Amino acid sequence: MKEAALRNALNSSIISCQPSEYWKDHLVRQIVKGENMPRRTKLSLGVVLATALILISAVALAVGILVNEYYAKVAEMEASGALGRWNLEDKLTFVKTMRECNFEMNPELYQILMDEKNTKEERENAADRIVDATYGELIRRQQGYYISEPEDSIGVAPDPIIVFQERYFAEHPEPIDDTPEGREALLAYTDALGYYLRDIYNPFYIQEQDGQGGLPEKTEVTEDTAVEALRSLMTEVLGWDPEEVNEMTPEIQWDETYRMWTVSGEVSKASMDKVTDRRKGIEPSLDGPLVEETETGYRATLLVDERGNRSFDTLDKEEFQNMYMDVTPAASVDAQEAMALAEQAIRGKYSVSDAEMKALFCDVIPLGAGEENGMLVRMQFHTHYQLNQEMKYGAVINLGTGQAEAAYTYDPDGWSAELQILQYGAKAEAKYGWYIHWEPEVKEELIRMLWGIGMCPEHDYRSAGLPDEARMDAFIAEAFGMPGYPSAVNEALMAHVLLGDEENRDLETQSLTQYLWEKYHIHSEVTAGEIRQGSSEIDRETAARMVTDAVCAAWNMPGDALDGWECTVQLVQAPATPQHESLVCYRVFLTRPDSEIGQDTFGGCDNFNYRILMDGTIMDSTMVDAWYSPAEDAKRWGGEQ
Amino acid sequence: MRTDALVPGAISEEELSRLVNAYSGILLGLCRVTLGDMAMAQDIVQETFLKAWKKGGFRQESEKAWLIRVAMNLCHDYHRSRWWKHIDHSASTEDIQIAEPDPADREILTLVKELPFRQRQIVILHFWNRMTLRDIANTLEMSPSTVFRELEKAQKRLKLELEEEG
Repeated sequence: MKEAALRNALNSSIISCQPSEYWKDHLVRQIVKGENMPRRTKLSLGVVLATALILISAVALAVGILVNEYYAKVAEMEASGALGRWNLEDKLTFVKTMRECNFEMNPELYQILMDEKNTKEERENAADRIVDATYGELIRRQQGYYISEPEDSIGVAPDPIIVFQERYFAEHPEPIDDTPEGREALLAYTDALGYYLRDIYNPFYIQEQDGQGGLPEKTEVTEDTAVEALRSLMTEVLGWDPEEVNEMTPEIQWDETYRMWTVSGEVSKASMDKVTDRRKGIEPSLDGPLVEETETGYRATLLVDERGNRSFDTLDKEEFQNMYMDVTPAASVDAQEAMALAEQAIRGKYSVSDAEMKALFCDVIPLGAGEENGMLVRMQFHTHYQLNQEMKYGAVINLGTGQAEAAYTYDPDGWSAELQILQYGAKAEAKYGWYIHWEPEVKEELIRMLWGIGMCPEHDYRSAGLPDEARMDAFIAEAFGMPGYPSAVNEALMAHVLLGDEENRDLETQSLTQYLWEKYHIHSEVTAGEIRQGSSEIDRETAARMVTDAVCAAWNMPGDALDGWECTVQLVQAPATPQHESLVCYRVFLTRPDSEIGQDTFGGCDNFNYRILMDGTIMDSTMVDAWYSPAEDAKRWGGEQ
Repeated sequence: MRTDALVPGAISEEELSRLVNAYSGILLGLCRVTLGDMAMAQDIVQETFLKAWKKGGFRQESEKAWLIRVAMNLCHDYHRSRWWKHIDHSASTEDIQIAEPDPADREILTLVKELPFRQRQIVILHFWNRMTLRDIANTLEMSPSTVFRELEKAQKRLKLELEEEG
C-alpha cells in the first residue's frame, strides 16, 4: 500500500461526514442553553442492573423516605400489567406515586391531570408529559432514538429498570469511576438491586441464561383446561356457534397409560343454521376423525396430553403421544421448586448456614435439549448479582423427576485432585500461554501435583537427578501435549487424560469441568487446530531473518552486521517430546566467521543458538562465547540436519 | 478571527457556532474513523465542543489542534471505558450526511480499522493530519518512542510502502 493511497482514503473518509444545519444548531443550543447533553445509555442487562445502584442511599436522598414504597409500587404495577396497559387510570396511579415521593413536576400539568372535568385525552396528555419530563429521555434512548423532540409524547410507560436508572443518572451525572474502588462500588449497588428484586419476586429472583429456549415449563393440564381446549377447537377452528358450544355438556376421560384427556362435546344440527361459513353444510369426512355426525347433531372429540398439547389430526393416542412426548418431556417441578431442591441438596452435602445461603443469588441454566437431558438444569449459587461472579455452589436438578442429580461446590479445596490439577493447568495457561513459556517453578509445581496423584509418565524425568527444564517439558508434553502443535498444553486433552471421556464423567465433574472451560477460555483440540490453521508457518529464510534481526536489535547494531556470519537453520523435532512430536521448531545457529574471531562486537559472543517456533515466536536463545563450528553446534544440540 | 488567546468561559455563542460550523464535520469524520462508530462520534464531538465552551482557551495551540487533541483523547477514554461494550452503538444518522467511500478506499479503511486502537489513532494523526511523532506523543500523552514503535508496527501491518522524500 502506498502512503498517498492511505492518506487519500483517510482524508476522504474523514471529510465525508457532513452534519445538517439542524444538528449543528441543536448542538450549539444544547451547549449554550445548558440543556442536558444526551449520553448514550442503552445498556446490556448486566449494566442496566449495575446502574440500579440508586436503590437505597441515592434515592433516599432524592425522593425522600417513601422511596422503597415507590419502587414497590412501580414493581407492583409492572407485575399487575398496569405499565403494559398504561391507560389513564394507570397513569394516574403512577403520577400520584411520583408526587407522594416528592418528584418534581409541573403543577399546571398535574392540575390538568387531576381535574375530572378535562377530557380523557387532555388528562392522558398531561400525565404523559409529567412522566416524560422524568423518564422520557431514558425511554427514548432505550428505544434507540437519539435526537428527541421535547414535544414528543412518551407513549410508553417506564419499567422498573428505567425507574432505577433514572435515579442513578440523576445522582451520578459524572462518568463512571473505572477504578477497583469504583467497580467495587458498582458491584455493591448491583447486589443491592439484586436483593431488592429478589425480595419482590420472593423467594428468588431468577435469571435464566442463554438462548437454549428457556426452561421446560411445568404444566398442569386439568379437566377444565381440556374442556377449554375443546371449546376453543369447536368455536375457533370448526367455527361452530359459540353460544351452543358454551352450553353443551362435555364428556371427558383421563387415560393414565397415555397420560392424556379425551374430551368430546356435541352441538345440535339446528345450531349449524346460525353459522354462515362452510360449517353449514359440514361434511364430517372432510374434518377427519375429530368430527362425526350423530343422530342429533355433530360431535367433536379432542385429545389433550399432560403438557397441554392437543391433537388436531388424529385420535390415535399412541401416534399422538409419539408426536409430542419424545420431543418435550413434561416438567414436574418449576424453577422455583427446583431451586428449593437445589438448596436442599447443597445443604445436605455441605455445611452451609441459613445466613450464607440467603446471601447467595441463583441462576438457572438449561443443560441441554431433547429427551435425555432436556430436563436437566444447572443451578448456580453465587455471591454477586452480576452473573458468573464468585460462584459458591451448584446443583443439577432433573425437572422431569424432581430429583437433585448432583450437588457440588465451586471452592477448589473441595474438588477432586484431578479437577484441582485441571484448574492449575488452566490458570497457568491463562497466565503464561503455552507451557514452554511457563516459569520453571510453575512446571515443577505442576509435575509435583501430577506425581501426587500417581500420574507417572514413562519419561525418565528424575533419572538425571535434579530435573532440568527440557525434562520437565518432556514430562508435561507426554502427559498433556497437543499433537501437532509445538509446546502446547491442550487443556481439553488434559481434562480427557485426568477425567476420562466426557460421557463417562458424573454430573458433578461434568459441571465443574464445564465451569473451568468457561472460566479460563480453555481451548478444545478443535479450536486449537483452527488457531493453527489460521496462523501461517514461517519458512527457514524467515526464521533466519527474524533471528538475525533480533540479535542486531538486541545489540543495537546495524541490520547488516551479521551478514558475514554463518547462519544454519535446522528444523528440529525436539528431543524433549519424541512421543508427541510436538516441540517442532527451527534452531538457528549463528557463527562468527574466522576473520572476525576475537572482535568485541555482539559482546564478544561467537555463537548464538535460537529456537524459534513455526509461528514465528522466538522461544529462547543461548549465547556461547567459545567458538563452535556449525556442525559441532548442531551436534551439541542434537538437531537433525 | 484568531481564537488562540481565548480564556475560559470567554467564548460567545457566535464563536461557538463558528467553531461548530467549521470543525464539527471534520471531528465527526475523525472520531468515526477512529472508533468505527457514528453514534459515539456524535457524542464525542458534542463533548469536545462542550469542553471548548466550558473551558475556553486553546493554550498555545491552534483551535483546530486543540479540538483534535481533545476529541482524540475522548475517543481513547470512551474506548477504554467499561461502558463502551455496553453502549448501544446504533445511531440516528439522518442528520449527518455520509459520503460512500470508493471501493479502493474502503479496503484501506478496513485495514486501518483492524489496527489496534492506539495504532489506529497514531496512523490517522500521522498520515492524515501530518503530525510529527513528537506532536502525536503530546496529543495522545504517550512517549515519542512508544509512538514510534506503534507507528512502525502499524506500518508493518498495513504493509505500507513509504514514499521517497523529494
